[in-house]
Amino acid sequence: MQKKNVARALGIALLVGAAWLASAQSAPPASSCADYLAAAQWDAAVSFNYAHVAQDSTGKVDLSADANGRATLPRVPDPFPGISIPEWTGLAQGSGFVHDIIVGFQPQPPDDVIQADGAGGLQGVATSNASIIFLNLDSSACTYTFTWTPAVDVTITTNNGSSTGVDAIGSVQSVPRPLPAVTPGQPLPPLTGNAAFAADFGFGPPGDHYVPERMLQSLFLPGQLLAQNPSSAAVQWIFNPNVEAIELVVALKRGSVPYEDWLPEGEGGPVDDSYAPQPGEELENTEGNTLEIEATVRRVADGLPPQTRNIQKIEFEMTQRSSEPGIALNVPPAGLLASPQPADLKFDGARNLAQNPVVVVDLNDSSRAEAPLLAGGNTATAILSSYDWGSFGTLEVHATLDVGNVLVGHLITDPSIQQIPIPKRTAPSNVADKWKIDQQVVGKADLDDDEDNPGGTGDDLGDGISMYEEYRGFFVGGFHPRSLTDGKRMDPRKKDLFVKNEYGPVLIPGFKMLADEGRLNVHYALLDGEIDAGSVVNFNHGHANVVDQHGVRVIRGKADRNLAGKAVRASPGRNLLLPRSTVHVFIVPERFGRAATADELARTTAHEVAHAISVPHHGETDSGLVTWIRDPTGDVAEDDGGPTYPIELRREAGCGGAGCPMTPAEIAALFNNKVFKSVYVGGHRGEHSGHADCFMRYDAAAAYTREPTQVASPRVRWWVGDEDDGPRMDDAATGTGVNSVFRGAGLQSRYGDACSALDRGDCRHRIRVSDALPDEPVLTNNGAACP
Amino acid sequence: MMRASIRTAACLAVATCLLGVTGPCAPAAAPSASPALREPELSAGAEGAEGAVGYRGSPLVLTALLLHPDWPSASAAAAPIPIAHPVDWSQLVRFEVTAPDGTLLAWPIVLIPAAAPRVTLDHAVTATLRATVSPAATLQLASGSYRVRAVLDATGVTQAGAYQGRVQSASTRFELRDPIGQPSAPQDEALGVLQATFLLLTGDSAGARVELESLLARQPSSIAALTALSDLDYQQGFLDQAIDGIDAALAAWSALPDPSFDPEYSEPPVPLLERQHAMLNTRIRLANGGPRPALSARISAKAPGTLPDTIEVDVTFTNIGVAAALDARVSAVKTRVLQGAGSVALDSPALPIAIGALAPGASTSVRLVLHVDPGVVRFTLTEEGATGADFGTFGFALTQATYK
Repeated sequence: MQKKNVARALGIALLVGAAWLASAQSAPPASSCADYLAAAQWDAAVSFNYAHVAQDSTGKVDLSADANGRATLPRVPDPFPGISIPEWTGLAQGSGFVHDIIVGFQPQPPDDVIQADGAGGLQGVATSNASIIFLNLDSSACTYTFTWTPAVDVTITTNNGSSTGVDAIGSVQSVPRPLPAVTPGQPLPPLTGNAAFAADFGFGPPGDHYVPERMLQSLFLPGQLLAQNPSSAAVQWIFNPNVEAIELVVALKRGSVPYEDWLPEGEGGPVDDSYAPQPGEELENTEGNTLEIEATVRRVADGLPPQTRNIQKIEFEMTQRSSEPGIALNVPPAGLLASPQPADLKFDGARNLAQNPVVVVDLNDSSRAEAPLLAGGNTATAILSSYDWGSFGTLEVHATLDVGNVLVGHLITDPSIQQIPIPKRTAPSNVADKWKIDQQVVGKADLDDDEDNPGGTGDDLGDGISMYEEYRGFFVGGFHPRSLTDGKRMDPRKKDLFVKNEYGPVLIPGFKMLADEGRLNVHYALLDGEIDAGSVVNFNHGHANVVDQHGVRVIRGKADRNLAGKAVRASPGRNLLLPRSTVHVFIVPERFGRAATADELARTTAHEVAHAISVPHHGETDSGLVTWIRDPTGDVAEDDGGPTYPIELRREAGCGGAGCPMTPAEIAALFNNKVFKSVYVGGHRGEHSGHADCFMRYDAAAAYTREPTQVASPRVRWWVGDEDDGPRMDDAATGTGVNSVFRGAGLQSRYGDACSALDRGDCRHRIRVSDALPDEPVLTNNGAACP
Repeated sequence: MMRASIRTAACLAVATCLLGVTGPCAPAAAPSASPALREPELSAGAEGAEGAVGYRGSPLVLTALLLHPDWPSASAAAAPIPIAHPVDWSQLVRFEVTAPDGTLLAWPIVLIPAAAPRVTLDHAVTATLRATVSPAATLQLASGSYRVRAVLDATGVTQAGAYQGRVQSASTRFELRDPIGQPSAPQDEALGVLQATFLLLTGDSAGARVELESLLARQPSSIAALTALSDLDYQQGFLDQAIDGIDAALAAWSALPDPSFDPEYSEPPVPLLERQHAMLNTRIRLANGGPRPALSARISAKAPGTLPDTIEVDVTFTNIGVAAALDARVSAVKTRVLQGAGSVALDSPALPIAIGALAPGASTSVRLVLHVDPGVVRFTLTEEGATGADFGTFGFALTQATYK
């Protein structure tokens, strides 16, 4: 009985085989061939192996390769329906091997060798989508052709020591083959076969051919060696048709936050009073936030689970990941970075084990995770963790079908995106689109650093922090600004100035004043570890760095010559200060009964810190502290360090607007029966000039002179009434208030306009924050009249 | 780096302390009856002899600064924030000191009253409060590192329209060390000026003067001491001495070497010059016959006190000048027995005694409780103090004689 059955089976097989041979030799009717067009997808498996050894007096070649790949080929939309040949194509998964040696051919030296070696997956790094299988059906001719381009990463080494990584891409190209006949009511038969493919450049006589993987990159290969010991590739293939079209869709979100709005985070703080940095390894492996990656195999037509396909597993892989130093530009502190730098995006083992179905993480580098599916399962969710505020990477998701084919996932909202950028961003930028939209900087490059002063001329752009760095961000006061619901975020359209306030909170109004008036973001709450010993704030820079940007240290000064404060330059010179050239700014406390008011202290603070970002005084012609000498007759002379000369003291008001000479009683009151009096005399268009309310203006003069050059005798000194600077920062050199030419009541402008010829006044536009800016000298006329 | 897994909670607890000012993560505030009002920003500082370093046996001065969040702004569009209290708005403010482990400590901090029921913060107006810890008190404290913050708690305020929330400042580090055995000259100067500041803040202007004069005897060129004594003179109406003092400070400044001379960023001694400028202007105005306030005082009522050997005396102050007296205060009450034996001393109120503002011709009375020894028959009272004016400060010493 058993024998009968075996013989019967063999007989049937022979009959089927005869029919197959017959069909291969004569094409079936075109009408049945059109049935193949109903195939929504093909599950393809192609393999080949090849070797070619040849040698003559000019050199030798020793080529060997093999590869096997699987792919699910969805139908490519016809660009010209009814005209173009229908095509199915897909990315192949599998493995390959290449070992090529080419010795001694021109133009290399006779003893030179080029060797290409590689083995592994078919997803080349350089061109990760190179391993593609194409299937074309010509239903009218009842034929099919296929092409496969297996790609393997190889390293090319030469005798001169160079070593280069490339993708070795071969090419299997078939001639048309007849489509098998279709039996009505039966499933479409597979397209299968095996053949020897001639190895050539693809320009040989018509027929199957295989272009070896190195040939296209080695056109110097002489033909005589190619012809010697002619070799061919052995190729096997099978294409199984599927009427049920399926796809692998990938949806990403974090809770209610969609993929489009998700921003990566690192550890966000807080850092409390007991701030004590731990080794970077801990910090950099502390998860910031997560992204849920839901991958689902579904039918293309209706989105429902597949009915005829089983899915073995779904794999998640970060094919590219950032490894920025630290978790933000200034955390952890310098010297506490992990080594080597861990990746910024990882699949956490415990988190993913808790998923249903379970997702198992490859713990080697946590870049891969896979979810084995039970029968009927079609979906899995992996959790991707971010460990850096500027994390970026590329995700690929694959589903392996029970026949071994691999389905490449695509973004659920865009089938063309299989390499999914994390976070959502637009190449080549590594900054999330969402942040760019929010900050209104769409289209800017990661390296851009072009904030201008309000109404600026574009001369002094930037704050030394690139757009990517603004996005990645800094910790200020123990927090990453993006971890707060509000607060002092980085602003890529506004200059950011970092201040290390080592004086105390009472200076905060001054920083606020400078921020408000200078149209700056002043980050004044830096903790000790958030700025390095050299005052660099972006010390953990990596991608898209412009410069080592410095912050400004503000310290408590001792009551020395500068009783209010001073910006101290790092080395002698007469250039405008930048943060990089400022050692620190000191502010001297006033303690006694007349302790500085908040306004005064704020103005002093804003003034001195503004010096550190290149803002100079309004002029340089003040006489400064001089000595007035009153003789017994009541006449007054001035000693300013040079020859003594007589002066006339006048009050501004009265006498028909010309001002009146000070009365003897007033002069007596001034001197209080003494002979000498030290007073500060301001100069025309000097330090007191310009916008009266600008905190960069002096308000210390007791008297002033209006003569740009003092030749008259006696020289007039105008006694100053009440005067004060203000909490503003000017945006013009024009004198206002007491310096206005329109003071009214016949009063003259005291000190005139700021000395614009020396780039004084118009302080808001003098601001230079970026340490990438070149040194610029302070324009000076050495104290002489403003030119 | 301490981290918290629950960001919101952590933010509530710590965020504002680290941002330097109160802000978006300010500690939970009680529901405000005036939701339209924004929260003021509060910052705090602690100062010992060397800034954030103080010494046991030396005073501490704490400062709280209140700002409108829109301060400074050129626009007056921001809604003002009234801080109000039935008696003194400064009673809404307290300082808190914590140990390194976060434990709240009970330090004997004495707030200097604002002496006004209300301050209204806006785009241009700020408010500053000070508090002290006395030398005797710091001597009882343990040396170590502390943090100080200020808290404005107006959750119990019922005045309509007033701020009714709670904010706290950043905490600032402060280190308290053991007393210095042999202070260097700069340390001696810093300790002396700080002690004088403490005495002045607590109403003992005479003690402050003694302290400063003592310091100047040791360091005649101390700019800080010269400036401080000039300030004191000016506040007490001794204009000539004040000007001489500031001139001496300027001379001392001129004699100092400047090892860091930098023509671009060298600054003049602005604080000294501003003082000198104001004083000279005052004297010139006075030389021109400028208006000034003048106080007189008389005993308007007298009665036996409730305690043995005490009497209650009502002293009426009148502004007989032609300018308003501003913030007049009695800083000392001195007595002299004219007839009989024993002594007379002020029992209450505590000094300084606020007289306040007096328009020209206006009067106000202050009740003094005096302890009078049984043998005293007749004595004099002298009220020493100062009054401000719109162009300076004037001292006064007013004497009355009376029988027991």
